[in-house]
Amino acid sequence: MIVFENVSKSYLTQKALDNVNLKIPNGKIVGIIGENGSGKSTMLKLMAGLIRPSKGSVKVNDIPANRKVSEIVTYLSELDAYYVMYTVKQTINFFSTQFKDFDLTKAYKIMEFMKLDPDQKVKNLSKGNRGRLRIVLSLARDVPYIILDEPFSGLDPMVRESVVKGLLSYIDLERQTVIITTHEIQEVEALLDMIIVIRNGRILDMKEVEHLHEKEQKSVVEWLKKVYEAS
Amino acid sequence: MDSWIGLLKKDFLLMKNRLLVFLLIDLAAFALGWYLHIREIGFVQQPELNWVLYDNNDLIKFIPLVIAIGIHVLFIGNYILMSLNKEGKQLHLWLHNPQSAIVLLGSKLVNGFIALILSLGLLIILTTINLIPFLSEVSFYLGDLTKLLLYFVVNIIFLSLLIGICFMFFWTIYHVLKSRIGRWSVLVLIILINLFIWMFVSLESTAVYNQLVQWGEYKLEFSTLESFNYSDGEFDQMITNYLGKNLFDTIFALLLFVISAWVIEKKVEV
Repeated sequence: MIVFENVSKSYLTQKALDNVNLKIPNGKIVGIIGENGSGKSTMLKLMAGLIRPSKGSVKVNDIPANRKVSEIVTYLSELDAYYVMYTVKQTINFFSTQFKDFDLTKAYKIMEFMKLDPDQKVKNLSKGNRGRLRIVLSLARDVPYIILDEPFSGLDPMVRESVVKGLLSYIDLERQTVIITTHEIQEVEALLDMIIVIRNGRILDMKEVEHLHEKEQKSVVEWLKKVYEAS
Repeated sequence: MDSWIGLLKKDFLLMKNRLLVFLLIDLAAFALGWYLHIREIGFVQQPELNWVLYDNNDLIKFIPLVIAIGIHVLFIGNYILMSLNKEGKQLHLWLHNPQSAIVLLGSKLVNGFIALILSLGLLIILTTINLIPFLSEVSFYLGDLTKLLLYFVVNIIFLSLLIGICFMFFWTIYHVLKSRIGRWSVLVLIILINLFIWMFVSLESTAVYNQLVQWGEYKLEFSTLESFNYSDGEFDQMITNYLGKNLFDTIFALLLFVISAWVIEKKVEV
């Protein structure tokens, strides 16, 4: 379980998160949604141990989230960053040397599924294919937590579809929890078990998607609008 | 072990092109020496023994190479800084890795060291090529000349490592400052570097420091070079050093390295 306890985070004079309390249960696909600058990426970076809270604590499986948490968390950044000197295959091989849980066979399988050319240089890949490669690198790890920051950002519908299919095919929800931030809500709505709405660094609400659909008869977007209007 | 080799390979490939540029600069220093030499004598002559031995212009061939070798005290520092700056542009990619910061920085340092050896090795080969016509004439001094060269090379490597670790330390400090004070970080870093140098220089002039490091004296004698009659006949006692000083510098470098790793582990944010 990932637990945020009274977490605040500031960058210089700007407050990114304000006293966030949150428990993310295991074995779910959780979407974090909110407008730009609402604090979504900050939350994910805290879970990945790449930044530290200004106040409060973030724990992953009862362990404070620091850099070491990368042993049980895979983090896909919103940024389009790679080691450009590598080919697709070399990138995968490099990651396999760094993470003990990296499943090379699975990585090659997802690479084929994503129709990536293993011998193509990463710097020569299209943005869509770089997005696919990021998914390969994230899903090939056998870790309890998969954190994806804007995996669909700037990708065309075809690529988005293959990413969603990749998520459906290669995640084991018996053992894995996925936390995803996105603006393409409709694209992932069918995937999500739980949704968290954030605005100005504060959690506005948190709901089971099934409950939303069945009891409230609302789509995530409709519910999001309602929550935002009420805030 | 795979993770360490993977990191080393990645860091090497990351800097491969820069290393090639450094090696080309070494070759350019060699070419420059020859260019200056040829310009000095006005035309290209066949290297006859008399001409080679008695033409003072021949020395000019060595000057760019010697300068290039000397500049190598800053080699590892620059190399590491370039490599770290490449990582700095995509910090999450570098830091989202279960290897400890000591391993991440260690890979940079080892790569810098290997690159230094390659570059310095090339310069020594080029210097030796220039020396070949003189070999029969200097054969009497060859042992001491080699010893002297080895002493300077070892010192350059040691100093380069020390400066490299200092650069690494200030790079980590800069990244901490950047996330805390933003645009003031460069100014504060410059002040901190000056303070650091001032403290180090002040420390070196204290009696306590001298007592601490001036033990285990060793001298390097170059008896055959005495006949060069460069100075007052004390050439054989020209180089005196202290094991204490070497140990102090080593501990200081190790301490800075560990602090840098700690800062990355605990303070640097992406």
